[in-house]
Amino acid sequence: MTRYDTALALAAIDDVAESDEFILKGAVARLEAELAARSGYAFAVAGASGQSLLTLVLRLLAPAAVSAPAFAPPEVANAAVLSGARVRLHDAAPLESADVAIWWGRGSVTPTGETLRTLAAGRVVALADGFDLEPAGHPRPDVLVVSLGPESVVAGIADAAVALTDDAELASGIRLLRNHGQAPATRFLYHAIGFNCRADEVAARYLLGRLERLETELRGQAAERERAEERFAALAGGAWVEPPARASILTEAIDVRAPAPDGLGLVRSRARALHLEPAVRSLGYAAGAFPASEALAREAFVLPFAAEGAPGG
Amino acid sequence: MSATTVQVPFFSGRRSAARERDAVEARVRGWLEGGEDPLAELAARLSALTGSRHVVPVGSASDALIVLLRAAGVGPGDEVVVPAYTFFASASSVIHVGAEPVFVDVEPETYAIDPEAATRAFTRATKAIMPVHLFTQMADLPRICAAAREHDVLVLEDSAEAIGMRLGSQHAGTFGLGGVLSFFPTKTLAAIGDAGAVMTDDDALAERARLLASRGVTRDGDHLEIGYDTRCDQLQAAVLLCRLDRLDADVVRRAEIAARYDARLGELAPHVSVPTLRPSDPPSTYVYYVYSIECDRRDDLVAHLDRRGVGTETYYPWPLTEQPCLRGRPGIRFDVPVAQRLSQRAVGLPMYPDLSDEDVEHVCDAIADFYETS
Repeated sequence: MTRYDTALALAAIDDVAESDEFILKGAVARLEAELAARSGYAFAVAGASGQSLLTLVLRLLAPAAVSAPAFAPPEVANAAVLSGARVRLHDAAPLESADVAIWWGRGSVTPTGETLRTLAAGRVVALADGFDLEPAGHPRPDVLVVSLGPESVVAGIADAAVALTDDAELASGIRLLRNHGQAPATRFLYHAIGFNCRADEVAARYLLGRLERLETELRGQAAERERAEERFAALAGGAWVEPPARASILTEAIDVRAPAPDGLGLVRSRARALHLEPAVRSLGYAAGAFPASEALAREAFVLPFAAEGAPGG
Repeated sequence: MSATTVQVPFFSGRRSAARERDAVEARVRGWLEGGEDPLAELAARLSALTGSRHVVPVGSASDALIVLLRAAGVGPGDEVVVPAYTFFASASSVIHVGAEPVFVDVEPETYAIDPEAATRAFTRATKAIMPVHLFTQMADLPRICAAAREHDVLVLEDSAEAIGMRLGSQHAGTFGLGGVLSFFPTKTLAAIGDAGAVMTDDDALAERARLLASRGVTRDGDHLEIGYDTRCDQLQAAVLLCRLDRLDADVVRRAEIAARYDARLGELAPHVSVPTLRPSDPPSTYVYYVYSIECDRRDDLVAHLDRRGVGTETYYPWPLTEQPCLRGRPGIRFDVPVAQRLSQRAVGLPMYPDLSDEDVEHVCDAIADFYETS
């Protein structure tokens, strides 16, 4: 579900046209500072999309093996495979040990402390659609890649994402790789074989406007979520709603698990577990390898909503 | 206003943007509030403009090259012959798909890949050649395509800079299996952020390119291939549609500016060489995306122009063979003297439709002053 703010979009376009600054300039820097401050991470690096940033992070961490959940979106499999690492999938729990473990969350947004403890001894990289507005004192992944695209919590006007981390060297590496590997101070000199994974100024300006309304949306969303949970709890057949870890966590959707949801006309979360998708068949997993993930793929679906205060809400 | 206070940035689109503001607003409202799909219309209009059967909008031209290479089946074990004097993505895209770029020299007139040098670089591992149409004119595609056919090599055009360039009636990017377009904000057809496109007449390649650019996921949600998340933003498409309306006029204005530069800077030979347009049969359509001169004491001139308020861009200060991250690669096998000379002598001057005649005169005065007084 997308929620656009036309006035904000037009203002962002006007500002960019007037500034003659288009990519990785002042608005992107301001957005990064804002997201770092709100998330509690030391560094925020904005990029073109969640998958692209996740790929850069994995390239920089250069794990021999990466562990990824079998119930996750295609972006996780794509980034893991494109990183060049040996990819191992795991079921909902327990998680295998690996140099890098990818965690993907929706309703929970970031892994809980208990989940983090079960993850690999190596680094934990999370891909999420939102982030915790009150992070102090809570355990968190080493790197959190948050989508800022039109269907994300902080819904942008275009594809965008941010990588959050406390690792200065990693943040610096992401900055290098997102702009082709070009040296920060020297045009057309390339120290690494990077990608074009840059954030646009127009997307950043729009997102800065959206962030100003975040707290209002959070309040509206908390009330909306409470109502939805009550309704689904009353459904016959064992419907289950993913509980948010804390009320400070902003999410764009309510995850629901119920038998045979197809008839409800709602959005399926994942049609298949990752290991059953043709794209990752080469990993060699057969049907039945990850029963919990396969069950989730059959039963989980997403109920989108725009809270009071959000565009379209 | 005294001459020293005149500012001529390397690029500005501010005046044009102000003129088209209402049109952009209407397009954006049509998308956000009216449910119009600017991406589909953009693809259709670019297809009509270029004559390419399929145009697949993506996030950037760099991504378009990666998608094109993979969709064409280029991968590990393959070699792709590329020019040594071009933007970095012409090489990095090849590496990203697991293949090896083999660098050859460029022609001194067009700055495009030298067909003879390229042919000498063909080996049994050569899967493709990637000519780049740089700055103003196209590579020698008739010779390149003939050599490629003879050696069973694919032609994949890096036509990122080449919108509007034609040989006869055939648009750049349509001579081989596929090509790309860039809509980087300083390009002839410019977005206000990153955007690009893949072009091809091949139905199967187009279908695979669409899949690869959309994370490898079909419209039905099936994850068929490991893909990239490189969708062209609808907002960029809405802006591009407005700017397509003025593309022809922009190309004409660029040519007027180039003629003015030619007339003034041609007088500064041998210190300055203006672009040489190679005649062709059938005749070519040239498009001045970049106005690049070759000059003595290039870096001193750039510093002088900066002091006079004139922005420049040094395309490209190093041949790809001298990039730190490419040193020692197996594809660096040949000497590239022309690319090396250009990397020491070439510089791009301001070239955009908003440039006034007075701006051009100021740039030329500043260059003339440099050589007359030093």
